Amino acid sequence: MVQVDPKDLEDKNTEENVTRHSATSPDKCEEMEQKYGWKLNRWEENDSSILEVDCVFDGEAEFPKSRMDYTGDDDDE
Amino acid sequence: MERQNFQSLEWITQEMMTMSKYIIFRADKGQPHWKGRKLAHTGAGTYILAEHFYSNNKNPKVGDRVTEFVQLEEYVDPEFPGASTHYKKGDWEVTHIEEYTPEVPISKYETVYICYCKYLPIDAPLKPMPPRQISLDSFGGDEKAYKEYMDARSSASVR
Repeated sequence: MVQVDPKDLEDKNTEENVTRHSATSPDKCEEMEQKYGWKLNRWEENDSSILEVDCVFDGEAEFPKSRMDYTGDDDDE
Repeated sequence: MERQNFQSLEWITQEMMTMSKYIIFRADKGQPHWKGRKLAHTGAGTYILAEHFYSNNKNPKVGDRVTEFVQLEEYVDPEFPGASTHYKKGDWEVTHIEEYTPEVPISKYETVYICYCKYLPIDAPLKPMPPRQISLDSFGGDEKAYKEYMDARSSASVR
């Protein structure tokens, strides 16, 4: 009999969404997953020329606050 | 000598902190839809439905579902023509899990999970893929490459 922790259900709900980060190779996806403790759901080739891979993470794969400050100037997307 | 031991310990601790979990979702015995389920690069049939990698304190659970990704032609971004455009909660559900830990403490993965799945279709809504995030990590920390890319994007958007 599997006991379901209500906290797990909460996690699961938020993890039904995904976050996408582009990368130059699949290794970068694993590096991000390990560096930030994210859940890498998959990577896929996107047929672009430089950022050839999309890393798809479960849930909100957002950078820590200090990391966001570091890239804060690049809001030209 | 003590200093050396301390450094080794520090290295081991650091390695263990960054170790991740390798999760294989596979179709259980007797499940349908095995036709056409192939490894694209070899053409061999496979039971594997998905591979995930976790580097946090979360583990796969019974009841988890494998996310499905699709590409709808009318939503394809010409800059990324190969990418999925939508996703949804999938039709394969985890029914039991095997957990393996390596005998050697310093391994790439701290645990390997095999999640056996049953085909239990659900009517889940398709959701659009979120926008792509681009950062220094997209380039593996290569600041020069990152800057060149962002500069090129800025110039292209000005034109």
